[in-house]
Amino acid sequence: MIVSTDKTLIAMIEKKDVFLDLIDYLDEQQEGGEVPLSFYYERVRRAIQSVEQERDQKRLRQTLDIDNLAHSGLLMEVDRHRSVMVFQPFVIEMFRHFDRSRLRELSSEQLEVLRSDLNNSLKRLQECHILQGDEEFEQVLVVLFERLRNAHARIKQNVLSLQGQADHLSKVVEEQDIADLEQTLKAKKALEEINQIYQKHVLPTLQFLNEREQIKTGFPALTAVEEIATTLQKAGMPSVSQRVLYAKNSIRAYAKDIEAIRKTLERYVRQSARQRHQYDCIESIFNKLRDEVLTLHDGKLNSKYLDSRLDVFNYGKIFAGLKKMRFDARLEWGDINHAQCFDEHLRVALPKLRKNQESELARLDRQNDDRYQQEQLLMRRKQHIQVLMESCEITQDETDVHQHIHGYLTERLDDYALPDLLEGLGWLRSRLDTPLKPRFSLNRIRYQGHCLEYFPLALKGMTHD
Amino acid sequence: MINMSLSQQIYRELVNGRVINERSYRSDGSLQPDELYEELFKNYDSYYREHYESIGYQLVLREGFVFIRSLERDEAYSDVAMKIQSLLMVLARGVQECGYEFALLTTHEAGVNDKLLEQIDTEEKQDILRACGLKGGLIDESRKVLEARNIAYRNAKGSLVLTAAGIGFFDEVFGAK
Repeated sequence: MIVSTDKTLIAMIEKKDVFLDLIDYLDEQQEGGEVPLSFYYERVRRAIQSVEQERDQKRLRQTLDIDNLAHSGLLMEVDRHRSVMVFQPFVIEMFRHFDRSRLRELSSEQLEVLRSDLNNSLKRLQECHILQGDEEFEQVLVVLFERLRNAHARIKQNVLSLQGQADHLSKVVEEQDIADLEQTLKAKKALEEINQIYQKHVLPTLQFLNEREQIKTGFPALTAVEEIATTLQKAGMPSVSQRVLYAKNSIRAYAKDIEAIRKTLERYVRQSARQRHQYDCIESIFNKLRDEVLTLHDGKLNSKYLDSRLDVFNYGKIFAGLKKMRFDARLEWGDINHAQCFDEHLRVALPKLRKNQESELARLDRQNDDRYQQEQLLMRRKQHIQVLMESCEITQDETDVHQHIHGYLTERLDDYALPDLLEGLGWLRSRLDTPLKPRFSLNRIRYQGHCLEYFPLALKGMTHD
Repeated sequence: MINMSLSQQIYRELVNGRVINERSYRSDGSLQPDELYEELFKNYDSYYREHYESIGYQLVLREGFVFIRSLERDEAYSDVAMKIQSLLMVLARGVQECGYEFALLTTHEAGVNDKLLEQIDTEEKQDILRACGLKGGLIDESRKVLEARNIAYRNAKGSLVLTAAGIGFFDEVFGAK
């Protein structure tokens, strides 16, 4: 069934997503305007499935059928052998206008064509006879204004396209989650596209709109238009000249928009360049490091280590000298002043000596105190023995004074020991008027594990010998 | 005015071979100004620089981090630096090879998780690390060398992120090339 062109176009516009996908495909491929039939049918099938009523589905299938499109004059070519089709350029351009981001930018070559056209118009004007009513002149004017309108329209479309692209791509970059691999890859691609747009479209457009641009042949586009206006003014056609100037100013007005786009994109261009630089630096240093490691692989299976003084570690050496500090307990005097060393020794040793001396003196003091107390005790004991011996009576018939005193003191003196006997004997001797006379024999007294051997004593005059 | 308590804490950190960063990671997942760094920064010229120099160290104050290096250049002077350099380069190269941007390593909310670290830790990378005296694998060595010295930290998601010190290293690398 044949559907009229206007209804077909309306149906296409209603299902514009299909054709926007086709545009994306064409832009990605960048190889003419050929669309594979399978790709087209796959998109159309999805669009038909989204329609609820079966009758509507059938109508849409017929409307978007390739034969119908060809019959409506919307296709330039259908090659069934290669399974490709080509849409009329106006169809694609129409859909591009539905989405600014899909508008096509002007390339350097296209801008150069616009500039050449305007320069040609200037040349033609200078060559012809400028006179109202002159047929050649009128033709030149018609072509001139056509070119000015074309240039204006193309520049306007270019600005819209660049703005759309810039908004779309910058959104992709700004909204990326760098921890998400898929988004990171998309953002990388977006940055590449931005870089391409910046270099191939934004900068050439700015050059096109710059009236002072240095060009090898001819004038810059707007300067050529200015020259045309001046020529017309000089030829006595101020109103025509004014129209030309208006056209020129309306084209030049887009310079501000392009400049704004350039500033927006420049940030991303720098970001892209920075990322590229980072990538290159890391890759280059890593490769050097890997090459150094490979030199250790000599087949001997030795576990060798890289030397930290190698050139490959010269980059980013900010952490050189960083380590956990370990302290050596041993003092290294080295080349130092020995007098100072001795002073230091004295400073440390003298207080220690003084301290030792003081403690020794204290100890001696304590010892002296003990000795004194012992002497006092001994003295008191001797006095006690003296007192006891005052009342010790020795009779004339006593034949063994030692034995007598031993018995006497044993009964009266606490803690009696044999030395006390000798002490008591001494006190007795000092008290007696009659001296004691030893007898020629050897007696023994045993007491508390000790033994005293002595010559028995008796008062003089008592002789048993 | 020197804060003696902070000064002692700073000394303990520095002599143990750790870096003090301008901002430190807190348990609530935020990055907060570090009081040790602030103390050092305020009194760097008036006290700390000269003080550490007099006991044999150079107090290195860089953008966002501080550490000390020994003035004594022995044979092991650059050994720790070599380990840090090789680990950081292996990490950065691995992140790139996996398709991510370098910024993954430096963004507090992102970082490199253990799964990605395992992916990076290929035979080639292990070979490089072994040649630099790092035999424990990328995850373990990152913890022992980078995290222990405050050159990297783990964020709330458990991913490895570079501190100002780690970023400072790469700033120098990118600037020098």
